[in-house]
Order: sequence, then structure tokens, then C-alpha cells
Amino acid sequence: MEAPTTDPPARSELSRQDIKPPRLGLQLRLEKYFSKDKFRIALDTGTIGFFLFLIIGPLVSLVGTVIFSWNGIYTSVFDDPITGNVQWQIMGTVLGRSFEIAAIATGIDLVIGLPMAFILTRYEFRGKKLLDTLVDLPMAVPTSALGFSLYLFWGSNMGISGLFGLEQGFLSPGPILITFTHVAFTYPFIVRNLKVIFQEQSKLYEDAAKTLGAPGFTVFRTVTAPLAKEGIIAGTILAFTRSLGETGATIIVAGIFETAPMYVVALKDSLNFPSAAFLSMILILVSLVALMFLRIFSRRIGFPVSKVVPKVERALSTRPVRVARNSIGMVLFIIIVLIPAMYTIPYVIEWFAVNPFTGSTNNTVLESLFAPDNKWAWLWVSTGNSLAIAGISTGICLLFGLPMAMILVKRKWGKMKELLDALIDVPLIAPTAALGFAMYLFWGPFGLNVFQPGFWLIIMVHVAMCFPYIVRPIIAIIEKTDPELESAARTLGASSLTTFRTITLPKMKPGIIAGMIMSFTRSMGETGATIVVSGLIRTVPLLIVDWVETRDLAAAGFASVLLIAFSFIVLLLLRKTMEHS
Amino acid sequence: MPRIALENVTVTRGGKRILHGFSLEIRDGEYFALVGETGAGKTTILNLINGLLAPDEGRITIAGRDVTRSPAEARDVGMVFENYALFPHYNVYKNVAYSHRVRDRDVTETRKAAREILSLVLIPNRDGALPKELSGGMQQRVALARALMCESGILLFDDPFSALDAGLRMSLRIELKNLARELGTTVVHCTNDVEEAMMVCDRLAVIRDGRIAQLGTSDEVYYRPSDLYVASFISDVNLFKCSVTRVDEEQGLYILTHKRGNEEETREFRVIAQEGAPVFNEGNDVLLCVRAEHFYINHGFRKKPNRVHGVIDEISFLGHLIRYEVKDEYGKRYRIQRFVNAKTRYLRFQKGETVTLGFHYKLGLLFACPREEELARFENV
Repeated sequence: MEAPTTDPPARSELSRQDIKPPRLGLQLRLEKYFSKDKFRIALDTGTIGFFLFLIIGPLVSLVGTVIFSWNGIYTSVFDDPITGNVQWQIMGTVLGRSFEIAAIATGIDLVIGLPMAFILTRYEFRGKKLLDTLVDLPMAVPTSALGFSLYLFWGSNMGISGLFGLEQGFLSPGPILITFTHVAFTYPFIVRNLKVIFQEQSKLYEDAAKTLGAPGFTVFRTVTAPLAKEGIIAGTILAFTRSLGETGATIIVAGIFETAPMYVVALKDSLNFPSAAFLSMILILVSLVALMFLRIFSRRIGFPVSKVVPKVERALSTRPVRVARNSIGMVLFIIIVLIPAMYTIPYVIEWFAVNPFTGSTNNTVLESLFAPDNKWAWLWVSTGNSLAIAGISTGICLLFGLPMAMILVKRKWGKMKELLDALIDVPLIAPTAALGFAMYLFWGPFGLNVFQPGFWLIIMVHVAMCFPYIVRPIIAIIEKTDPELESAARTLGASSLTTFRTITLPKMKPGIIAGMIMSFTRSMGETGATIVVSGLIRTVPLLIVDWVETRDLAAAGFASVLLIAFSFIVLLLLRKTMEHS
Repeated sequence: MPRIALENVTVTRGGKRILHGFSLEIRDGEYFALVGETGAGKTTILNLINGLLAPDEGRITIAGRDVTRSPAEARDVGMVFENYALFPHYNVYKNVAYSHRVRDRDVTETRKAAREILSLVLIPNRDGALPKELSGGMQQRVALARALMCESGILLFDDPFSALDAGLRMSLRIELKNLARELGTTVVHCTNDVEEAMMVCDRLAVIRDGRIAQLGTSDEVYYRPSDLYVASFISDVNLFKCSVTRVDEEQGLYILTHKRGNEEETREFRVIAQEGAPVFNEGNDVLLCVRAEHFYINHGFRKKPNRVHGVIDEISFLGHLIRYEVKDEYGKRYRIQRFVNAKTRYLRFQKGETVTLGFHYKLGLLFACPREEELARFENV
């Protein structure tokens, strides 16, 4: 008789449960609440507003300054009562020099980078991973440390000329040394770009061309290269603009010569703001034109493929030629890029405690660091600054970069979005010194008067600088992710924020980490724009510039190594966390 | 003399042996099909012939000439790739003329040859179109035309129809075969679709784990499969583990008894083994294999040799085919497949109905009883 009495309550309990709507946990409820359209619109607006303030504001204020103080500019640049148009002539010279150097450096990089990219994608051999890492290595070296390293190697008697027993450096600071520096600086960018392109391109087309009777060189010329055309052009323009705008390394190796971005710094330092604004605008305009060219025309340019010359091409495809080409590419990489870029490390070890030539303690790392002018203390303070700035700006970038990436992929806004998409790349190619100056005008005492030169203005500049580095990899990953995954989550009842947290975010993780690594190292090494907005604050790259100017080479070397070491440790840590999670 | 010969070829990739001591001869003007599961090594064989891959050991000859070490561009063997690999930046004409252009052939001659071949594969005049502007079937024809421009008279097809829809696939198979015969081209055609292979080929090889499981005409491979793998690869089979009770030497008739572990009942089968089957003696364990389409089906329960009984468990009607699944009282399942024709159109069975299945004594396939692992792939032996 007990069974009937226990049964009914159990059933009613069950039905009560059925009637009640399922109770969501707090997190899910919050996510559901904030998935409403109005919050999405608010987030979009916030992100775009932030972006406009970040990038467009400074550019507009730059153009505004040029227009409003045109009379001043005209007087000081074209019609100075004492010097006449000397200022304009100098600008012409530095611009010409910058273009020349950028063009030559990019050309050299393309020639020595192409075989390397091809080796890294189309051949299998032992030590390929190592070579791959070595190629990327100069990218992890902060620019002023890179400049210093190249100066040591080529320009001082402690580098390669020491091998030949020369008193002087091989190259004195000046345009040639700048070119060498820019070759080493842009090399990883070119190779990395080309590598990605070749990797994405299916080997199938090359196989098909081979079965149709084309020898190796012809396959490359008629199939591989034309298909990779857009990527090659993009990589070239990117490297060109990077070289055009490079400041940190250039300052160290330039000697008495000046390049256009350096002249912006010099004009700003001499408080000639109108002229600085004018030159900055020219530099940014050139970059914008390059960017437009890239976006609009790269698809339409034909590749020089006309007639095939079988005899020559067959000769170029033979094994000895191929081996020669690959080994020349490799050797040039080692001599021109790898060793010069890494030269600080052996230098610091050698000069650590005693002068390797005389045995005295003069000019050694230890002596110079612990000299009465407190270098040791400065070094640690500025290291702290560098790390804090890199960390904070990467964090801010991530905060606004994630929604920005989502906007650029998911929203269907047509032309508006295309414009936004193009603007993201502006900091990537605009010369850093010019951009830094524009931001100084916008935020600083002559503009909104929000930030004085110093810690927070540096962070603002670095945020703008690093923004594309965070957004681009995330976009790339989202675009590759199957949109059906999200649709599936939605049909299974997840709100859009829950979908984002459980499906989209885990997918994006590698992109986010890659972006953070890029952004962090970029910020750690940034020199050109930082110089313009630093005020009295010192970051490690600035310290290196200062010390090279005062000829404290040993201390500068130690700071370079320290900076490289920090960048590396952070890279490793980030990579480890990626592997664990 | 064979047109293409692979002799004792070994290929290892990443420590894994793909082909081991592999030999194959393909005759002049023959339409040869390689059929096997994905990863069996078919594409590797094609790449050995066209030169994209060099073997670790062994010799490859084309028309008697040793080409083992000559690179792809020197072999002039036409290949149609799985996804066509049409150069996306070249238009139809430039794609087709590519092999002549890279050899710097005379322009007018090239144009003439290309025109001829393009009209041969029935491409309407769309020389200027880029591959992406063409339909799948059209792209397939352009890829074919491009491969036909090679002058060695050898064509390789790597699963050429996999990206096409069913109707187009059917008509292109016949077209391809006729075209190859007309031109006297030697063709090696890779596919994982047995039906396609049997339909187009003069001879075919069933490839399994880098070895030839069987080589022969469609007829031979179907009626005289060399082993259980080939038999089951071609179509659904029903297996019976039997022992030979008697051999009628005069007629070549085997009398077999089938009994599963827990069953009381034994079944008797009388079978004339397929040609090429090994000779069995009384008391031997053998495996009897009956193709799904070789069973016929009848109402009711009749106990006779070569009959099994059961209840219909599942019926699928495919239009031209009806498939039944029949379950006997011990849980063993049988698969039956019958063509729908005037007679069977009205011979319908209901789910749950008791039926008798039988097969003709000349249609049973006999194999030596394989190892347990091999049998584990099949249910209810």
C-alpha cells in the first residue's frame, strides 16, 4: 500500500520542474542581458569612437595645423627672411634620401628574401625550424638596439673591420650604413610576408605546370610568381613604408646625415612646429598614397610574362644554379642580416669586465654602467617604463581591438567598413615619427591639452601604433573560422555573447596571442614616435639612443642585450601560456 | 612492349612505406584503372609515372625508355588533377597552350593544335574566359584539353570526376572512354569508385595498402575475385564460415555445412567454386561469400540446400534497386539487393514477413578461411 502514496508527489515534482523556466546561472543571464541590440550598438559606437579619436583625430589635427598656420609654414619653409627657402631645400634633400634608401633596401631585401622564402616553404630539410626562427629574429630586436648592433658591426672598429685589423669601421655612419640597417630591419617583414603567400598557395599548380613540361624557373616565373603577385606587392610596399618611416635605428647609424623622419624629430626639438607638421603631413600622405595604391591597384598590375626563352630558363633551372642561388641567399642572410643584427651579444660579452685589447677596465660594460652618472639606476627605471608601457598599451589595444575585429568581419556596412578597414593599416605604414608628432599636436598642449609629453602620451602613441598588429591576426582567424559553428551555437540556444565566449573566443585564441606578441615587442622596441612624445620619461630604446650619442657604447650595448632578453622572455612566456591553455 | 612499366618500385614518405616492391605494366593504348580506398597509394603511382615523385628504389620505363630519374618536365605525360589545377590567372587558351609555350613551340602551330583539341573535347569558343568563370564540367574539359596537349600519348586521371554531380559524371565517363579510344591514348585512371573504374576500363587493378590486390578485366575482378578484400570491395557480400563435407570431383561441386557456435540447426550449401579458387578437401574450413545482388528472395519458408530463412527487417527502395535486410532467428543479418523490373515490380515484401533467400550454385565465391582479424571487419560471419 505504500507504493501509491509515494508515487504521486514524485510525479508532481517532475511536472513542477517542467513548468518552471530553466534557471540560468548568473554568467549566462548577464550574457543574455547584454546580448541585446542596444548594447551591441553601444559597443560598436564606443569602439569606433575610440578608433576615430586614436587615429583620425591626430591626422585631422595635423592637417589643421598645416592649414591654419600656413602663413607661418610659408615663411619658415619657403620664404625665410634670412635663409630664404633653405628649409624647403633641406626637406627635399632628406625626403629624397629617405626614398632612395627605402627603395634600395627594399630592392635588396626582395632579391635576397625571395630565395629564402622559397627555401622555407618548398623544401624539407633538417634545421628548417631553426632557420625559420633565425629569419624572424631581427624582428624581435628593438629598432634602436638593431641600429646599435649594425653600427657596432659595420661602423666601429670593434666589428668586422677588427677582423681585418683596421683602425676604422668598414662603413662610417651615413647613407650606406643606413641602407644596410634598413635591409636588416625590413628583411624579416619581407620574408615573413612572402612565406605566408607561398604557404597559402597550393603546390598543385606548380605540379601541374611541371607535368606540362615547364622547368623549375619557368614554373616560378609563369605560375608561382603571378599567383603570389598581390602578396609580393603588398609585402614590398609594407617594407618600403617601414623603411621610409624608420627612426630608431636610423638615428644611431645616420651620423651627420638626416632622413625625413629624423628631420621631423629635429624640427620638433627646435620647436619649429609648423615645419614639423608640414613635413609630417608629406610623409603621412606618401604612406596613404602607397596604401591606396596597394588596395586599389595591386590586383590590376600585370606581371611581366611574355615569351618563354626555353634555353635560358632551362639553364637557370639546373641543379647547380639552384644550389648556387639557395646558398647565396642563405649566405647573404647570415652576413647582411643575422650576424650584424645579433652582434651586440658577443660584443657585450667580450667587453663585459675588461677591454679585450688592452686588458684595462676603461670603457667596459661594468665601468660604464656604474659610472657616477647613475646609468645603472636609469637602466632599471627605463626598463620598468618600457615594460609598463608595452603591457598597458597591449592591454588597451586588445580591449578595443577585439570588438574592432568583430566589427570588421561581421558587420555589413559596405563602403563605410572598407574605409575603416583601410584606416586600421595607417599606423602600420605611416612613419612613426610623423605619427608621433601628429599625436603630440592632437593630445598635447597645442591641441586638446589632455596629455603632456610623458608616460601617458607615450602609451597613447603606442596604442595607435600597435592597434593593427592586434586587429589583423584576429581578423585573419575569424575569417578562416567556419561561420556555421556560431550558427550552430545560436540554434542550440546560446545568446550572442555566450556564443562569443564559448565558441568564437577559443577559436580566436592563437590569433589573439600572436597579436599580443607582435604588439608587445613592437611597443618594447618603438623609438621614432616615442622620441617625439617622451618628454623627460625614458624607455630603454631612448636610453640606447642617448648613450650612443654620448658615446657610451658599452652601456648602450648592455641595454640592447637587456632589451632583447626581455623581449625574448616575454615571447617565450606568451608562447608557453598559449601551449598550456 | 608495355607502354608504361613500374618495376619493383619502393616509395617511403616520412618513415611510412607507401609502395613496396610494386610492379605494374600498362599496355599501349590501354584504358587502365587504379581503384582502391583513399590512402591506398593510387596517387603515388600516378606521381611516379608523371615524374612528380622519384622512387627510392626500382625502375620506371615509358615506351621502353628508362625515365626513373628524369624530372616531370622532361616526361611530357599529361595529367588531369583532382581539382583540375587550372592556372587561375590564365584564360582557357593560355591554360591549354601552356605546355607548348614553355617549350617555345611555333605560335601558329600551337594555336592550331590547341584549336583542334579544344574542339575535340567539345568546348565552345570561350578562349578568353578565366577558369573561375566556367562551370565544373567545363573546367574539367579544359583540364582534359590541357593534358591532351602533351605529346607522349599518355594521360593520367586523378579522380577526375569527384567534384562533378552525378548526372554529368555518368555522361563524361563514356565520353572520356570514347575519346581515349579514338585518339589511341594510353590512360591511367585513378578512382575510389569501383563502378566508375569498371565502367571505363579495359583492365583495372585493385590497390590495397600499396599492393595490387588483383589485376584483370572488370569481368574477372567481379566474378573471380582473388580474395575476400576484392570481393567485398566491389559490392556488399554475405559471408558464411563453412566446413567442406564432401567434394564431387566430377562436377567440381563442393558440399558445405554452415553452423554457427550456438545454433542447433546446420545449413547445407552446394557450390561450384569460381575459377582460380584454391582446391579444398573434405574437412577444410572455407569461407563462402554470396554477393547481395546474387541472392534472390521469396515468400515463405522452404528448407533446401543453398537457402536461408529469416524475417525482413529493413526495406529501402531506390527506384532501380530494392535493398532488404533480413534477420534470421539467431540474429544473423543478410543483405539482399534486387533490381526492380517488370517481375519484381509487383513482388513486394512487407517488413516482418518471413522469407527464403537463395542463390545459384555457380554464384557462390569460395575462399580459404581468413584470419580472425580479417573477418572482424564483417558482422555475423
